Amino acid sequence: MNSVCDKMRDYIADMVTGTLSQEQARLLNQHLSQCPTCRNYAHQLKEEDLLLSELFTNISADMANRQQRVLEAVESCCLPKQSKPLLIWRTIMRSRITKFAAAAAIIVAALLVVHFIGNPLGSNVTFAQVIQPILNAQTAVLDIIVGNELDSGPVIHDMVMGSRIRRTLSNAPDVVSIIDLGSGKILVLIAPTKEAVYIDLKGLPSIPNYMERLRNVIAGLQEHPQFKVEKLGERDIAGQRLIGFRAKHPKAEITIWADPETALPVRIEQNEGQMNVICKNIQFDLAMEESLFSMDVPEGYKLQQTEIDLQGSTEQDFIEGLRVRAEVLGAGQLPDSVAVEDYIKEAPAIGKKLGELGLSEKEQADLGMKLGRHLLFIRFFKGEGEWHYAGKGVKLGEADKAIFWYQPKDSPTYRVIYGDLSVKDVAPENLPK
Amino acid sequence: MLIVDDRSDEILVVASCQGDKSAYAILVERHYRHVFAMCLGILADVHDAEDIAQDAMLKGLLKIAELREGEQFGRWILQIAKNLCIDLLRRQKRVKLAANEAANSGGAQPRQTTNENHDLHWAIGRLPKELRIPLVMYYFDNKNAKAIAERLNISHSGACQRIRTARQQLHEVLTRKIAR
Repeated sequence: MNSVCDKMRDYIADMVTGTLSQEQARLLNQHLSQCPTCRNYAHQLKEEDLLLSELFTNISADMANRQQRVLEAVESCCLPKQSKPLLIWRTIMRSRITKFAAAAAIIVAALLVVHFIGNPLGSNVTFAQVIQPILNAQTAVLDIIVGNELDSGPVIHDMVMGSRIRRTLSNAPDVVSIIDLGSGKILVLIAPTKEAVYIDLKGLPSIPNYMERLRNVIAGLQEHPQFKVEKLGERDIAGQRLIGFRAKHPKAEITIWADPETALPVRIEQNEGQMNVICKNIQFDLAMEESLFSMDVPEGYKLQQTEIDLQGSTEQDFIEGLRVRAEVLGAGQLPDSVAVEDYIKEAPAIGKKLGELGLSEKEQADLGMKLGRHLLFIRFFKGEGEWHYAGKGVKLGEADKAIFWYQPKDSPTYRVIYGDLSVKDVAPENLPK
Repeated sequence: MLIVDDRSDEILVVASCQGDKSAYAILVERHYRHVFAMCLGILADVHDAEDIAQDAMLKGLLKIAELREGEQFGRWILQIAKNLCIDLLRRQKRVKLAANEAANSGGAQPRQTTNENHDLHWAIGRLPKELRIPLVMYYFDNKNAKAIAERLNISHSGACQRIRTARQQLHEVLTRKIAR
């Protein structure tokens, strides 16, 4: 046997296993016609191939019975209890794209305070002297804090021009949201990944000129008959001498601090429902580039589109969000708080966590919207009085623990949500202590 | 009656996670044959292969929630089977033997011995594991080298090469046996 035979024996093995090319087959046949040793080798390999096929056919003959035994074992096998709660996590884990990263959580945070200075009274506002000097203001810059100023929560920095707001969060400086109140759209730009998200806001009243709105609301607060305006006198706040007015209403309380010389408001503290919002460092008529407020997607950015209904959030949306926060973000633990300000503080961490889950863009957007609707239920709470949350330290599935209760509008009873996310109607006297 | 379920592995995995055993049963029907072939390829023993293939399928059911990419079920369950086979070999104190297989110094001794297939069975057991696995899977999978390559996560040419070498070495083992 020579080196040609060695090569041909490879060809013979390939011929038997059916992987020989036409050209190789031609060369092999030519060789076999001249080499009885290789002919014999080919013959033996073919015979063995038949035997192998027969052997495995025999083994396969019992395959159906073997499989049936496995199926019976599967049927009688007890599934571990934890497999079900992982459903949501599993459902959103099906894809592998991670680029969209932190966007979803940040978008939600950007949405939360879009109404912060919305008119809680729906009143016919009139002009007021204190804001006379800003009547002609075209732009404003302000910092917003949701919650307590002394907390370490992020600062929302807004630049306002006409109906548009350019918003950044101090704990997510790479993400810019441009909010157009006129058309009810938000454009979110994520610089590091060059991604853009257009969000259509449903349920947002058209506010063609945010500056005008701001003025009118401030003025209206002072003149509305239901409001009691209290003069707070002058005080030093953050190194600045300011004069204050507190306007009180059964459902809201607003404190305005203005420059005593210009009468321009520089700080507004607003309490609406269970959310505190502080606007500070307000400045008017700063020169700003119009391009900063452009709703056009910058070149090279990849665009996503979605919509969110600001007013359409239901109890079920709130519950679904709790489920996501526990299962996806909390390792089975319900969140410590459902307050908007606490969510905003956590937003970057939530974004990071979402990024690590390896979700597709759509999955992240869906999850973001779920969280969004969950928070909007609290943000635009429509029940009577206050909501109560007691989910801190409770694990998802603890059916005996009441975690949230509220009184729906015009309802004699309360809705109580439990740790397993079931809901019951409960009379006021039977509410959790 | 043959019931064809055209749901993807990915969807069946999701359903299985929700406790839907009928969905997992379809995964079993779809993949059991390959798992068995892999076990037979490693263990060279039909009975051991049957036991371990069943264990692998049950372990897959219990661990299904840990599988993050449902479409990878096929490879995932094969990996589980492979690990269980290795555990068994260890338990049987065959580790040394298995390591020596590459040097063709020995292999698992098959228990199933139909007369006419005895030599062949014995010879397959003498092949190194790296060649025996693709060879067994090849004959179990209608001689589809491409499918073997995908399951073993190797190239098509690599799979062909291993099957070729396996066939050649098998012939040598058989020839030596007859000559003795």
